Amino acid sequence: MKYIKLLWFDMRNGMIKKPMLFIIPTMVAFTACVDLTNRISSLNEFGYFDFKLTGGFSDYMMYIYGGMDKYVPDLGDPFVFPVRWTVVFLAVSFITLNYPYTDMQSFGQQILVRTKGRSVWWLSKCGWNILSSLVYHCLFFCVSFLFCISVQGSFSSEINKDLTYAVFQVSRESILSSDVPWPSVMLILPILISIGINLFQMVLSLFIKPIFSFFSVALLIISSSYLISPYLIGNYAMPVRYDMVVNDGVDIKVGLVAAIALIVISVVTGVIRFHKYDILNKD
Amino acid sequence: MLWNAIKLECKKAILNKLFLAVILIGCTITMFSLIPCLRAFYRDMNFLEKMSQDTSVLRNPMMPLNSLFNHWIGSEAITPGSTDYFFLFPLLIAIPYGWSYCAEQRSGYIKNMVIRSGRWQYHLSKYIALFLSGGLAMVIPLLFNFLTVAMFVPAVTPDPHYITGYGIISSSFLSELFYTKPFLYVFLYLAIDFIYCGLIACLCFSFATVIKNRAVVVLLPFFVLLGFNYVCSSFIYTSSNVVYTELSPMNFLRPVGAYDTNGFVVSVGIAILFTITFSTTVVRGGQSEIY
Repeated sequence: MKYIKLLWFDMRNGMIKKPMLFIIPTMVAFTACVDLTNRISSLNEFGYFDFKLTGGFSDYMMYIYGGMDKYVPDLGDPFVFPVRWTVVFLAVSFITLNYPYTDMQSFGQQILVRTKGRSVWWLSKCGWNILSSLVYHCLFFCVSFLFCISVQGSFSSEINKDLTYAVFQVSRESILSSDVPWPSVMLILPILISIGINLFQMVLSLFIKPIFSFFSVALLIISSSYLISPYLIGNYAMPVRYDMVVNDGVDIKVGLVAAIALIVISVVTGVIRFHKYDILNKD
Repeated sequence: MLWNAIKLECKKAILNKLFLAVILIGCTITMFSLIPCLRAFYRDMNFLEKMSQDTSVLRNPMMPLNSLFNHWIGSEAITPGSTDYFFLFPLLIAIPYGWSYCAEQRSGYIKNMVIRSGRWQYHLSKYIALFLSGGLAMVIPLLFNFLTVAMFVPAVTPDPHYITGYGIISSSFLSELFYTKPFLYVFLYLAIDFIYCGLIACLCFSFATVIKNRAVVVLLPFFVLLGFNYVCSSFIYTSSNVVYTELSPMNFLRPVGAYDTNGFVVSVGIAILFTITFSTTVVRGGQSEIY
């Protein structure tokens, strides 16, 4: 009961009162859908496909979460970071960065004293973080769904392979020759990774200043887009780099395990650390 | 009085732990450009040496390709160090002193300062200090990298015959200088980076006049630049068959990139940033009450 009350308090103050949590995904999803529609139109005009293609719900979602193809360093091909993907993942980290810290410096101190339990307070912040991330990502799905209805797109559960390879400009060597369809379920893993990263950032804020914890996350995100490696967790948040999409891609199952491990480790580390954390020594 | 206020603010902005930490982080990131570039340089040198031993006569060692001016961090966009540094710089330049106005408002320090020095003087000195700390936080790691690379790689003047090895073509910004006076080219680019990053750091001051949260104030310039980059990539650079003019500072503060910029874009960007930051901080702060 105590936990539910705390969580409800956090939801009211840390989610409902944060308009950016709703505005950013709505705007990014809408602009991405418009962008993909324009790209499909120009591909159709160009005669890229054998038939006139219309984007489906899964294609719009793939366009938002896709990321970028593997980068091969070459003097004639400077690295250009995937702007949309970076915005999607860093915006939610930014929105969820500050609330636990500011709450702890103000009203949260009273709650901590009255509830007589640090673990419950921390777990409610974890719950708030997870729910905020879920709401943020659900808005991408909702806006894309509505956009798809408005343009009379298809609602197939499969992602169009040719369209994905074309819009992400996947190199010919990377394209996987397989007839196995890509289920849109694979777009769930980026959300899990995002939740893991946000929880990791929240725990890191207990050890270093929140600005530096955000800096670490930004460094992780940009390094992941530069280098395809199973050790850089951001790669699992890019469906274009999954092993079922490209050659030498990252294993989706490993990504799932890594995401769950990151979530569990972050929550547990946070509980342990927060028991000895001095809530009064900050500015 | 103004001079004293400027000295005090600059001292606070530059002689603090966060400034030192940011310089250290920046220099560490540039090492991830230095190491691959030096490795590539020595690989090429070893290859040339082997070739000269095998063939006894090496007609063209292609020395302009192994120049300081295409091995320092600003001249390449393919190593992790360069990628990380030119992506994270809006954060690095805001961390040292971007939070100061928020903190001073909250602690009441601003009231003491304004009583002693005056509103104009206080806001102007804060603006100058932020500008300098932002500019220096950007340029010092770049300069460190340039000088470190210069210890190993000769400063051979770039030759337009090897244009594919530089990434700077005739339409690139200041390309004439690059192929004739490369040191001046590097100096001018560092000066542009200094001015831009100084002004971007001053954005924190502008945000601090309306937002009271330090972390948000420090991180917002990064998101403003990222958002602008997003708008450019989604709505302006829409065709892969057109060569666009680079508008995003996140891309054109590095000499090499997907698109080239020009002097007009750079000047207009500086003018816009200066107008926004100066009018919302010094002009507005100098006229409004602090109580």
